[in-house]
Amino acid sequence: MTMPPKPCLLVVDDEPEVCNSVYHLLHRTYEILRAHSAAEAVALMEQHDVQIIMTDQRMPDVTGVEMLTRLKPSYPEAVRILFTGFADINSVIAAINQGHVFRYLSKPWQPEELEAVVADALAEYNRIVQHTRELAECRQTNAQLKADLHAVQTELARLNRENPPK
Amino acid sequence: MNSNEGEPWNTHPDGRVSASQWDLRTTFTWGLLVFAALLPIALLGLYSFQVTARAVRELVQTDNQTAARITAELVSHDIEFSVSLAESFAALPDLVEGVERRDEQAVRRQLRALVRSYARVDRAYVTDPEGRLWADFPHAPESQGRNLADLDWYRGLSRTWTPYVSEVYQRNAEPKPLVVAIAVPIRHEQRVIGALVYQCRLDEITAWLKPINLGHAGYVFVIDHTGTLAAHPHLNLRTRAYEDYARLAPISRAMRGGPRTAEYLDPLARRTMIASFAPVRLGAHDWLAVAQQPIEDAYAPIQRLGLHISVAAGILSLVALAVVITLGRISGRNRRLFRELEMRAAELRIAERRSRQLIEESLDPIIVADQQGNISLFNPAAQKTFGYTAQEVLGHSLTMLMPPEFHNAHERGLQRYVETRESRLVGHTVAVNGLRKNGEIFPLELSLSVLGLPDRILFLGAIRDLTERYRMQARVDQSEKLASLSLLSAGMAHEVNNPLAYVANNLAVIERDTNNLVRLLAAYEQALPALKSASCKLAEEIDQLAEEIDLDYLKENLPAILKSTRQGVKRIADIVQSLRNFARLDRGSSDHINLLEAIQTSLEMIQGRLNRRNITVELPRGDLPTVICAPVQVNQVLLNLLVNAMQAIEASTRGSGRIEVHVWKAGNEVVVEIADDGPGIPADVLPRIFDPFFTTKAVGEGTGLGLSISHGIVTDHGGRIEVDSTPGLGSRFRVILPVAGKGTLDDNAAQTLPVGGR
Repeated sequence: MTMPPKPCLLVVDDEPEVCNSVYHLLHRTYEILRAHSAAEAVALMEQHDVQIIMTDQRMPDVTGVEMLTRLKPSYPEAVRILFTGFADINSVIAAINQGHVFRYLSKPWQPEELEAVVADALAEYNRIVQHTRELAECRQTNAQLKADLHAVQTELARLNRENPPK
Repeated sequence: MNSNEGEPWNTHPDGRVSASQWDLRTTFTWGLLVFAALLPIALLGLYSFQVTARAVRELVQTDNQTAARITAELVSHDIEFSVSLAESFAALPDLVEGVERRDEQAVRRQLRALVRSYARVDRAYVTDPEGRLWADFPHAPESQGRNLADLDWYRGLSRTWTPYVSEVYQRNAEPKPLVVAIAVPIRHEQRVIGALVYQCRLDEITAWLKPINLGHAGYVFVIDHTGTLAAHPHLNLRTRAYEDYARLAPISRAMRGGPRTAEYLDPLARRTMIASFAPVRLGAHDWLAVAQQPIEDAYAPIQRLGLHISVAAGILSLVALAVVITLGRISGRNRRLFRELEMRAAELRIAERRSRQLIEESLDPIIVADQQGNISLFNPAAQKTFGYTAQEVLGHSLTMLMPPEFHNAHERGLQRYVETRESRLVGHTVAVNGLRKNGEIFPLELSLSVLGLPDRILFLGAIRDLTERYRMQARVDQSEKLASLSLLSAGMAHEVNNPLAYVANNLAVIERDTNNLVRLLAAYEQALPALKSASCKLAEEIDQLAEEIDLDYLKENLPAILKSTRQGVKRIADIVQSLRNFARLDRGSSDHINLLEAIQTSLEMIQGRLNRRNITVELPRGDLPTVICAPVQVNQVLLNLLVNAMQAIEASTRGSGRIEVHVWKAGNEVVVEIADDGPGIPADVLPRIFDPFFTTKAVGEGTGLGLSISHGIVTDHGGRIEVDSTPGLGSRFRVILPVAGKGTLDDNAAQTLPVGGR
């Protein structure tokens, strides 16, 4: 029996133990990628099909919001979660307005809370993906219908030419 | 002391003196005084002068009149004598016979006897009744037979044939004396047979006149009825032309019986004369005796008097002027002095008023005491501070204002200063304790100075009640302490949060995985009997190991241990969260909030516990003021205080309690008071209740941050928290917030806090 592939989650925190902790908590449900800097995160994003990005706000080279903002154009459907031990209102505002985060968590989080948030994020991802797929299907159907219509119209024109109305 | 009392100068009703008014008034007064003094003197002088002048004039006139009258009488007598002499001689029988006979020789002899016998007779002659001279002596042949009928004497004599004195004339013969012709008829048996005439010399009269002195330069002279000079004491009339005095109007008037005195310009003396006239009666006509003096001479005493009076008046005027000037100067100096005095007085009054005002309105207590240490001034601020009225302390010793332990030092210091003028306090500011009327001892700052008056010394103490300052200082200290702590906690919270994050997370993983292991173990345990039958040795090892690690205990307790650990971590997380709140990293925006709603919201959160403990809450009624603040934070403060009140009542173990909430507006502040009837806060604990981590609650019940956070939030809002607590009766916490808020609660302020690490 082949299991469906586990959803992939990328944890970015310069504190390795935080990444490990998340891995321990969620590894059975998710494929966990661990990055300790924005650069590592970008590399991992290129190599894997990541559904959820979780990042700390405060990192040495770049803030979590900045990293998310940078990644968004390339991976628009990836759901973004920000967590931080230093919750100031401005970083929250920036996270929502610029990083388009889906959820915001403050450290320390309750494990149950984290699991729930990640589950929500996955649902969101699935919703987006399904939405995207449905949209594509719609478009395809639409195109097919248009082609069919064209064929019908062409056939109708031909019939009209052959049997002009009286 | 009323500033208008006891002043030696006059003041206007408004208390100010106009110096210029004073000046004018004074000058006028002095002028009037001098004028009033001079006027009687001047009038008296004038009157004296007039009286004296009139007296002098009368004297002169009297002199003149007397002289004139006497002279006139003398002359009159003399001429009468001469006439009598002629009559007597004309009646001599020898002469009458000689004339009868026309015996020239005999008559001439008679005439010679006459001329020789009387010095005044200068020349005598006899004429016939028709006026033809026929006998004379001294004999002049050329006169013999000459008709003299047109001469004055003949015309006068022949009119009535009575003796006649002619006008004055000058003889031709040397020494050309002044003479008059005295003519008498010669009768024989009632028949006029001729006329006897002699020329009578007037020298004698002149000689009489000479000694008559009128004043210094006055004299008497005589003129005949034609105005011709008959006798004059000073003029050599023989060599001078006569003057016709009859042409002088006053004299001609006098000769006609007019006024007997006159002033005129004497043509001979060429001086103005004052004269008196007296008629010299000579029968047929009158001559005139004139007594005259030069007017300036006669009136010289008047002029002298006038001069003297003028000089006296001048001197008097000068003296008066000098007096006026001196007085003016004095008054000027007085005025200047007065002005200066007035200015000084005004300055003094202002200074006095100012210092009184300073003392009266000083916000700091000011006390003045004499050298016995008795209070002599106690300003309103002092009354307010010490609680005594001025009447209660004035005259009493300063010791009533200080706690007993200061009394000895005070008495000793006072005595030492009075004796040696040395003090450790004077000129310094010291912190001591004061004693209020209600027995309260309070800290004060005393600045003691000494006012050295000529006769005594006064101690002036300026006092500052330090109670409020200490309270403020405590508040500032508290705020500073909290501010630095909040920085520390902000940094600490962040540092702790990172490890806390994975510790809590890992703990959850461990718990989950442990549970899984326990489940797995349970599955193995089910397989244990089979294992025992299969491999005895392995089963024994397992049992032994289970024994060794106390597996039953483990299975039983591990979940609980993990659960408790997770709770502990949760509490750590809560504390860190509180610390974050304490640092107020999460700031809310300001809004109008209704305090009643805020209180009710907070109460709802603890309503269950309140009900269980039988705690009733009394809420304020009516419209409550709204304040501008951050609602979340203020709610947190109110909740903190309500929870504290509730927990205080719980601690009292009475089983019921009461919380009262009052809200009122005081000026531009709103006060929320939350009072409980719990056990109250002990005095030694009270100063520390706002300290972070200070708690009296059981371990685990409180973090000790609630009041610190509340204090910080209220301070951030520009307000303050006050607390009154009476052990045994309960505590009252008052949150005082400005109605208008602090203005801007800076959302960015958190970013200015330095944060160490990540």
